[in-house]
Amino acid sequence: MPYLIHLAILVGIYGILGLSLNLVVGYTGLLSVTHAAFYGLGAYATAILLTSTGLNFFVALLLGVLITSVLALLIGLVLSRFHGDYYALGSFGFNIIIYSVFLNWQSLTRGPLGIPGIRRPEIFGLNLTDNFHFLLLVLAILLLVYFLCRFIVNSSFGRALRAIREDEQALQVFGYRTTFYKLIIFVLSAALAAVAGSLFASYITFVDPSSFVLFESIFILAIIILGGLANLRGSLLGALFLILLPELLRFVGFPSDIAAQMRQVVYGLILVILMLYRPQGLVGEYKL
Amino acid sequence: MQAQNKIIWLFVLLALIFIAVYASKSENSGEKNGETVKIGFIGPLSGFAAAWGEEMRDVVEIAREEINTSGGVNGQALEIIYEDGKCGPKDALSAAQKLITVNKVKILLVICGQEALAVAPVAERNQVLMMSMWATHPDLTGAGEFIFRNSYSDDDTGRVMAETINKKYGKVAVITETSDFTVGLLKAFKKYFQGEVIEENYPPGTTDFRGYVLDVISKKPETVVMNPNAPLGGISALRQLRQLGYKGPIYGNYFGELEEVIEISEAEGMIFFADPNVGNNQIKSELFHKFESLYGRAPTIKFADAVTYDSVYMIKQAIDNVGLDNSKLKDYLHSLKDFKGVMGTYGFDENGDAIGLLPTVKQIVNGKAVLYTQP
Repeated sequence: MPYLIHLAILVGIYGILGLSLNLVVGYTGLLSVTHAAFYGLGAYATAILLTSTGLNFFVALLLGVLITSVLALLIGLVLSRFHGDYYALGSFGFNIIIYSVFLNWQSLTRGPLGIPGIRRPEIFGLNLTDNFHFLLLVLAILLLVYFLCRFIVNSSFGRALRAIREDEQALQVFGYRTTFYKLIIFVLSAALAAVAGSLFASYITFVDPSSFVLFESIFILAIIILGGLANLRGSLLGALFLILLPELLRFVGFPSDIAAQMRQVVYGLILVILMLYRPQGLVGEYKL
Repeated sequence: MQAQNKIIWLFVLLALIFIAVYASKSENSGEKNGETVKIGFIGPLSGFAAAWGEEMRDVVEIAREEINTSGGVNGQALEIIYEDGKCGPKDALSAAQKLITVNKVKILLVICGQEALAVAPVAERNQVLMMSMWATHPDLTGAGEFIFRNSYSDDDTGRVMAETINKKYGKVAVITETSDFTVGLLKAFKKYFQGEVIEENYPPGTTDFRGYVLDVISKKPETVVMNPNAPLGGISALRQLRQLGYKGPIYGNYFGELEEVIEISEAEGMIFFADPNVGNNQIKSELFHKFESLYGRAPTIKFADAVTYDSVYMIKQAIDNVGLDNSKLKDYLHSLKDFKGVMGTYGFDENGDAIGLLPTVKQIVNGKAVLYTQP
């Protein structure tokens, strides 16, 4: 079932995005709306490296993660001066800045024309042009990311993050350097988003700035709010739900001249109803 | 809490089973009833470009209706399955996967450039014939053996622009909106233009152009080319250019053809590079007459409508001639040179790009767009 495999790959990629954003928003309580920027940085870094050099996909992925981490460190340093709503607005701004860079640095990113013809990864001489093989790679990475996130949130580091979310000042009184903690988790989350970006770029084989607009950040935020904040399985569930729901609505059988609009309406309606009756998300443990 | 979680997982499981069952069911039925020829349509049916996508869908419906009332394709009825691609790569790819796998579609009509670029590798790999009608993206040339484009490339427009302007001027300022279409145009223009190019780029949604315009004027170009994607921005830029004292000649891209542009006084004398001329034949007048009487409004994107309509008939003609075998179909289309449609008599080259669809040069004279001939 190539269609189901395709959907599974998308769920996997958005699952990674959800897991990584949940570390920042769910566990640490920082409302970051700039995740699509890091996702895009990873995607663009991989796309440019793979189309202009003969690098292996995994080297390109790691380089993308590295570049994204450095930028996330700089952005995180600025953002650490904000609190609460201002943090959200500040992060909002960074998404727009990075999007503008994708759009306007045309000698590097080819601007709105996008970059087509991105290669698929190769492992031990096996080229992953077959979607099923690519799905296995995505699932393997998703699993790795999941266990990494679980390790983090169950560690003492993760407890400190949750304490920051509940009462940052109290933690500072105990001598924790909370800025340092927030910065680390922010950079880590960005790095994981870059991994998802790399996978996306080599899966779709085409990237353009429109895939990394602010709306995409809000979509990822919706995944974790719907799935449940501060719950790793919730992130996966949210990704599954938000990717599959619009696809499911393709099969409802609306008449073709209103099908597209009805899909949007029903999709929105289901989300509103869900939030009304389950404000903590499907399996959430924390409310914004 | 625990019980609730179980219910949610159960729900997800049921949804998955639903998709799987539905998908495999339609797969079987597709194999059983071979009495229809299925074509998938991927276009912007919602989102910013929905107005265009819907108009092209309406035109496809006209063609389908006509073909089916006159005996169908190769003796079978034509069925078109419409999916929303939102003019973006991700949604288009999902739609393509659904159409190819679930509906077992062997032929795809794809509208936008971003959609076409994302779908092309999948279509090529599955040997699905793909015809694109709106995409002028230069990278689509040579995207695969099964990929066809019934339109012109931005490269063609850029070349015609450069050749026309080169004859008179050596230093030109281009005011460009950063969208895929206009940036592609600018690139092609720079490739063919031999003089000096002053680039002025503005992001989509800009309304105040004074900064850009003053910068352009201060660099003293011999002429200015307006290269907007959204017409509204182009109109504001044009107005502000004249208001701030630019008196030289102005060139423009496709947007000069729009009614809103032609009627403003600042556009008088502007030379622009419009879509290929829609022929003046009987097929054209019948199509547009039918469109108006069926939908009660005048067609707005006549060139796109024309090539969309032609595309459906090209596919029909190909199937009628060689049957439903994609490798034969693609060979047939590659060698097709004398198709007679709304756009006149034309065909495809070895890259799968339509031959003979070149942009026309027009000028706004006394509030009317007329064909421009170089003096």
